[in-house]
Amino acid sequence: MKITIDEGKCVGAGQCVLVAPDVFDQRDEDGVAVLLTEETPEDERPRVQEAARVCPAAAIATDGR
Amino acid sequence: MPRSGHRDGRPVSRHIVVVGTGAAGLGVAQELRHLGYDEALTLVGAENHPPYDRPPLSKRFLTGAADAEQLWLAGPDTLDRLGATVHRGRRATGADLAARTVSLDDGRRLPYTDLVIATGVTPRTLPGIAEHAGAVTLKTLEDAHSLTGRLRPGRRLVVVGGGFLGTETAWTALSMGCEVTLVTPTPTVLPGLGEQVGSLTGERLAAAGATVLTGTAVEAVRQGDGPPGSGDLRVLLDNGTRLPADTVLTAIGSAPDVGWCGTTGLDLADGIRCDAVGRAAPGVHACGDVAAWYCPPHGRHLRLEHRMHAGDQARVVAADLLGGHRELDWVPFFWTDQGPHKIVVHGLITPEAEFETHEADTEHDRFTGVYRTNGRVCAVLGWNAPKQILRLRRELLTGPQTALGTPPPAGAPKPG
Repeated sequence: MKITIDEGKCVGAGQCVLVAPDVFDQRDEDGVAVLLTEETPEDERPRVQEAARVCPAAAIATDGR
Repeated sequence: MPRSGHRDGRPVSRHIVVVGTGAAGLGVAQELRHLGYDEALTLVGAENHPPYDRPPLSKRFLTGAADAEQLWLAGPDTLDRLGATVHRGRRATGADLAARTVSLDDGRRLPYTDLVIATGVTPRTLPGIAEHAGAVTLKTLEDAHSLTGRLRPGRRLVVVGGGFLGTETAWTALSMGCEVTLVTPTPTVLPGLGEQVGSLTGERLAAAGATVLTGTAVEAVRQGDGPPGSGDLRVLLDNGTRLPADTVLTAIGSAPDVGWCGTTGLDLADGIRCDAVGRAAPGVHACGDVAAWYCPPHGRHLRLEHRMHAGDQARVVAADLLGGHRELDWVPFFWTDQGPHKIVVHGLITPEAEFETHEADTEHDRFTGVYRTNGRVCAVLGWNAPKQILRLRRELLTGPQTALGTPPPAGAPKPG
């Protein structure tokens, strides 16, 4: 599945890491969210969508569905 | 009593009215649709904008790094897809909880089966200050627009108040080349974070070029010698100092926007008092900055003005409206960007809590710390350590040794 993170919006809250620890990580220096792998398996979709919903900066977007 | 879909035993079509279109109100609406609610939904928002995010107003939006569209939580297309009736630029003026109607300032009266109150807060001001051009508060996009136009290099900004909004705006104004003085009656800035972190933040703000006057109160704001309306102001302090200013930002906290609920019979002691899932009265929920929810781990009601909390509560309210249940994350979370420094806190820092540094990395200007009340961890803080603090939260804020990890004792006061 396709995931985009808006680095300008990301506030480094790390809520996505709490929700989907196999998908998201944070940069050491500023906590901005990064993807752990280039390709995220489809079975992570529910957790990724939950992460997008709880993101306090609305910085995570996913491809449709 | 059936919770929804019926009244007096007769099925009625459902109509959920959400008053307030900030993070909390919009969040309820979006979560309702996400959970499959397909009946009538109405949003009432006082501001004439698509719902937008407020935290950047004191930071990226003020500097011009982000424009209004980048702050939208739901742009026109997203709002369309929500399938809601949106009354923009309208305020609720009252509600009849028995008749289940809410009145708007255009004379409209909306019948509802369920009402969600998410009207947020309004900035407090100093008496007599509003009459001066140049004396501003910062809450809305318009406020931020107006302030950003005033923050030109060399202009003098006096910030009244040393909380999150005051300090964040002071940093931002410094980065824009303004002469910044921050005045607060508290012993340090960010008093809610305790003496150590507050002092450090004040020192850094001063090192960056601001004049930080702690333990000092503002007595009055007067017109300066310039022509009326020129924004030439004098800020009179309780120690006799007169500070010249082009702009005075008052950031001394906010009051819940509940004036329109005066005759509803709701408990308005501090915002709208709710149970642990946001129920305020039959057919009425409240969430976001305006709502004081019963917090089981603490055995009392808490009203938190945190961005993350608003979204969390919104999801709990939506679930409850649809007969489901979602547990609120009882570990509150907030962050503040102090110029180049990011402070992140998980947990609830009580006034009596004592702070202790946990790990420090001076080379990278980074540390974590722990707040304890009676020996038990109540919160953890990260200074430029957003990643480390999550680990600390997992380690320290979920176990039985924490104030939050312990269920309330039997016989603790019931929500109400």
